[in-house]
Amino acid sequence: MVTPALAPGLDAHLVVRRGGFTLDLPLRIAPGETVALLGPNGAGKTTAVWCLAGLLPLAAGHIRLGDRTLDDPAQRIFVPPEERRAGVVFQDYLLFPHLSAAENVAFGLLSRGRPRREARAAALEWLERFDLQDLADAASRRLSGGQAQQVALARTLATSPDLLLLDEPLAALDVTTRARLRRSLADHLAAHPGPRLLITHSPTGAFLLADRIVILEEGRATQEGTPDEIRRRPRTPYAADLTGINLLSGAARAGTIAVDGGLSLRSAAAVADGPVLLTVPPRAVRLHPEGAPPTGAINAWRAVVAVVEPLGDRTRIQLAPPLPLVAEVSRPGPGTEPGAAVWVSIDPADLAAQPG
Amino acid sequence: MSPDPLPARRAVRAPRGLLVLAAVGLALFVVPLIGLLARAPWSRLGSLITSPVVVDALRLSLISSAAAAALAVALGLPLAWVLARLEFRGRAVVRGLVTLPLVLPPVVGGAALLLAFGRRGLIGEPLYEATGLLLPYSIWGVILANAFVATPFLVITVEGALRHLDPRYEGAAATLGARRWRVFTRVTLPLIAPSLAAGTALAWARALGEFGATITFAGNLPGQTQTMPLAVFIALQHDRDIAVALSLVLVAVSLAVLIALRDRWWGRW
Repeated sequence: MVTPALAPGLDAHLVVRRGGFTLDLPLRIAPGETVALLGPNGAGKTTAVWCLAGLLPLAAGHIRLGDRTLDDPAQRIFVPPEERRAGVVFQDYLLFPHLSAAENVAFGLLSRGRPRREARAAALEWLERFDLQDLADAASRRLSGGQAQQVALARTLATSPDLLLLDEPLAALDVTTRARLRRSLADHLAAHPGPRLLITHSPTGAFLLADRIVILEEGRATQEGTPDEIRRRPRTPYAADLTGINLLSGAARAGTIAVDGGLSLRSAAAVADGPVLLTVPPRAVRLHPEGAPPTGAINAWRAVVAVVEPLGDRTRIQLAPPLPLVAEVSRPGPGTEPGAAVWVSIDPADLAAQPG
Repeated sequence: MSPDPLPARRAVRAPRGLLVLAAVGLALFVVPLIGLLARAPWSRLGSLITSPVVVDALRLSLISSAAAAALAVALGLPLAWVLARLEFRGRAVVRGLVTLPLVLPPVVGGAALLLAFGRRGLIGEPLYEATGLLLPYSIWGVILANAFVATPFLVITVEGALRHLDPRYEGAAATLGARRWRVFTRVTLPLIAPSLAAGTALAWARALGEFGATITFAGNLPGQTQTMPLAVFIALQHDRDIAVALSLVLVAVSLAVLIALRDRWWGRW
């Protein structure tokens, strides 16, 4: 087991040009840190993974992992993927269809010269960690999406990579499986001592799994910060649309969801008892002046305005704790200046709940 | 992933003209076969098939076509990989040269082989002086002529499969630590196996039926270079019964291989 202090950190500046598209992304990840690269399709996220993995050479810039230089066109250094020790979980997993689950997991170990019997034993051990030992000899093309994702993760982790790259590991899964595997992924990420890069277009995954988020738009980083910083203070309209979403955790019981601040909320959708994640788009958070409480609203409570922030064609109003929601309005109404007391309401139809 | 099964009862209404032409097309293949069967000397068939001419020709045909198919794999697979994966100037020219035997009349191919590998040939003469090996008029010549016409079938089949293979599988293998040769043997080859098998079968079938290049380059020596097609052609001129018997054996062997392959290879597509 490598102690976190000895694991190498990533220091990269990725520059790639492809036709009219340019990726120009400085990226530093400390050992034991999870950075999420969040951006729309076509922003260059997968290109970044390919560069780091060694499947695409840089046009300029550098990739250093600890004291090893993996790619540096100016110095004419390029370490091929098989020598990089960069583990990748690919977008649609890319399990080798002609091999069984266990053979997939053993592939990397055999490639690194481990004896067949030892590789098989290690592969079975990894599958057991994911509770997939019964599927060891199943053809990989017969696995469900969730099983395939876990086998792919086991296949990558089994090679004990120095750098862990996950390209949309949760995107192809259904909602229930996604929640379960997100927790499993969080555990496995935590157990990996090196730098971890998570590619995603889903803010929820980034918020829950990452220590730091880098927003990538058209090949460039437009914002960088902790999930809270990004969520509360998105700096571009795109980031606001994508990440500026309110995320609450709570516990559902008999149709009501208890959240922080002693509030009980209701969602229009059926919610099973247990932990839930609530997402509320800022535009759905309605603010009413103190003197005019909303009539007949179910999810309504009093709060204090903390920050008022114009952003392009809109204004974001952040509420003070205990429930620091963000509301987004086209034009701030009277009585919504910082420090003002307001009524807050959320239509149950705008409160999306998923298993947490 | 197999596609969803089609509904059991579908109302397909075929254009009548299409059906008529399809029937004519089928007749094109069936009528000659019937002609062969109608003229078969059934009472003498047993002794004809076991006659030395037939047995020798069959043995030679099976050996040389199998060897040619093996040669096609050994040389055609690397060629297909180079054509599919490497970008280099003149790739179109290389592809043209490799696939030329597909359109070249086999007799011309045989003549070209003779000029290159014949006793006085460009390669043949130094080869003979150095080793005493003479390719023309030997089984080696038969194999070479067969491989010459058969390999392009393997190359185009396998190159197509390599182009359709998602290159990310090979990338994934590399990130797992597999070196290039391991990626090729453990990932690329298994993934294109059905096409490789089909290409091999096509090459073998082409080699089994080879006539023009073989007779030009390797001659027609019974027991040494007289393959089945050559034996049929010669027999037609003096003993029609032997020609028919030879043809029936060839049809039976080809059908047996096609049927065996249908389940093992074609079916997987």
